[in-house]
Amino acid sequence: MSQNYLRTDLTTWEIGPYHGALPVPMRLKLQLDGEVIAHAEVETGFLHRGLEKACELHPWKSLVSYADHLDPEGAVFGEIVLTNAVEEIFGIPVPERAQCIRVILCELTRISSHLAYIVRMAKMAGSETIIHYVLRDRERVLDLFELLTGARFSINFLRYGGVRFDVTEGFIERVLELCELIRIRIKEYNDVFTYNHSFIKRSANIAPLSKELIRHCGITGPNARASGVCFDLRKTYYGKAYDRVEFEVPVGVGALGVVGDVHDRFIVRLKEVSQSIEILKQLVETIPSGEYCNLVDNKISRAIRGEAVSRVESSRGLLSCYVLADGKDTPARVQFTTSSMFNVKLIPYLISGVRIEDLPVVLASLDLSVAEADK
Amino acid sequence: MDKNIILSKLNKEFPTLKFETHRFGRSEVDSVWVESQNLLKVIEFLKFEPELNMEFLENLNVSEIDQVLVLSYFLTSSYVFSEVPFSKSIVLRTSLVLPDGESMVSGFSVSHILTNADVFEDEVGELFGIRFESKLNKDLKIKRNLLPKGLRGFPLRKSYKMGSVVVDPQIKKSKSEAGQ
Repeated sequence: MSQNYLRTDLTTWEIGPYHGALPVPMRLKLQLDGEVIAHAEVETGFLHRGLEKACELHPWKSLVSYADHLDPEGAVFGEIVLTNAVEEIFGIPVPERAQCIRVILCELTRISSHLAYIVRMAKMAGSETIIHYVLRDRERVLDLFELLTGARFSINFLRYGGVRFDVTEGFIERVLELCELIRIRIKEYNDVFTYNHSFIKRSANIAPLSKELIRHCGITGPNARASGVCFDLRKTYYGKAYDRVEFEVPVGVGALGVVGDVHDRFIVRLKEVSQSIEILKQLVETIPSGEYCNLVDNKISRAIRGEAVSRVESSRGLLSCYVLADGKDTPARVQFTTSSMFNVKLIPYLISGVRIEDLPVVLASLDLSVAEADK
Repeated sequence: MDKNIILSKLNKEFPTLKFETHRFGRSEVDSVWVESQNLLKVIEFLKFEPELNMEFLENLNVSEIDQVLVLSYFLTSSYVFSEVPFSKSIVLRTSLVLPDGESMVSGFSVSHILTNADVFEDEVGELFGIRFESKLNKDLKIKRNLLPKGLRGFPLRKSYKMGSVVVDPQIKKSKSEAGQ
């Protein structure tokens, strides 16, 4: 038990499911010892949409648009993890150019998702200025999605064997422009917010996440990396277009507090934006020529039965998809496993011992997506 | 490391058990069928054997095939304290026969061995109607209510009929008052 406890009579607070202090819909039942959270219970499930059941009821070609809705902020990751699994089952080859376009979209999505994270953190920490600065820049990323896919969210862009369109004229130049812009803006974010003393007071030494707890709950992604766990699927597993580029995996070092605290979780994501910029710069300059989609050999054959699991490193951590084909027009089973499922499990452990005024910042620092946890 | 080391260690540790082995899909990972009453001791061995250290449950998948629920445990080596994560992986499979009608079926919980298993067990338990007996400390457990009150059946079973949602009379009344 933390030494912060005052040993007063416990009071019970119930917050949610919809509340300004909560980044996502969930119900928290807290027992408070003075201002310190002594015990917490979490209730989720308010955003369950039956996504996996919907996938079982629709033909193979329609699935991509459902995978889009797994995590609205990171639609591409849902699409890519599903298409990879289906392509593995049916043996559909993906041209190199299409793989590169997919990775470009993944990295743009990672930047967009991390910028949205900064906005949520700034909102919870009470910094109005940075919210507008970051949203202004995020719009530029969404403009690029619109240019390439015709949509800002739910892009429905991937196809079995590639992508729906080739990169449009001027897209590569605009990606490079965006990279340069974000590189400059990160310095601005640092000046205004990251190293602002009021934010440091709200985030350094708050709610550190230990490696033991990461192991206990199965945490992956930036939350684990902020605690020094150097595990990134882009380096260890995924391969494909990521083999063509050089980049680093940022990990938390506890520069201003302790390793794995709220500030580390924030810093790691900011550094990941920088690394995504490096990846994008290298990829767009060396994008191979050729087909953007395998239009000849991309058929779903009813004669093939099989199963596959695919994995990607989404902006929130390990995202995997299991697909089972039993020779029908629809899949027999589609299952998504998301990092947010485990991040939710972490909450009662992490917020016990935290002061109530730090609760919004601690919850926002986990970058939860209840959409992908509840499915 | 030789990928067959997992199977050879399992055969050495459990000489009386017969493991039926297949390749998982097109991958190089082995899937091993285990009788449900032996599942716990096999998982325990894979986790605590120092050379294997397979403590990360990457996924617990349940699929219904011909009135049988197939439970697949995707186990892999630790990524937290390991320099080479995902170096060893295996899929353990066991099955549960579905009863007629809409009754629950009982399964073995592994959440006291694999600490992140409860997240999967809660979810598939609710959606497939499997009762996992958990030995975890309930105080810190997450409560997940994915299905609406009044829903009959288990949506991910093949026998589930769409449209079984019983709408809350309160919501129905307020909707009709609002002219919808």
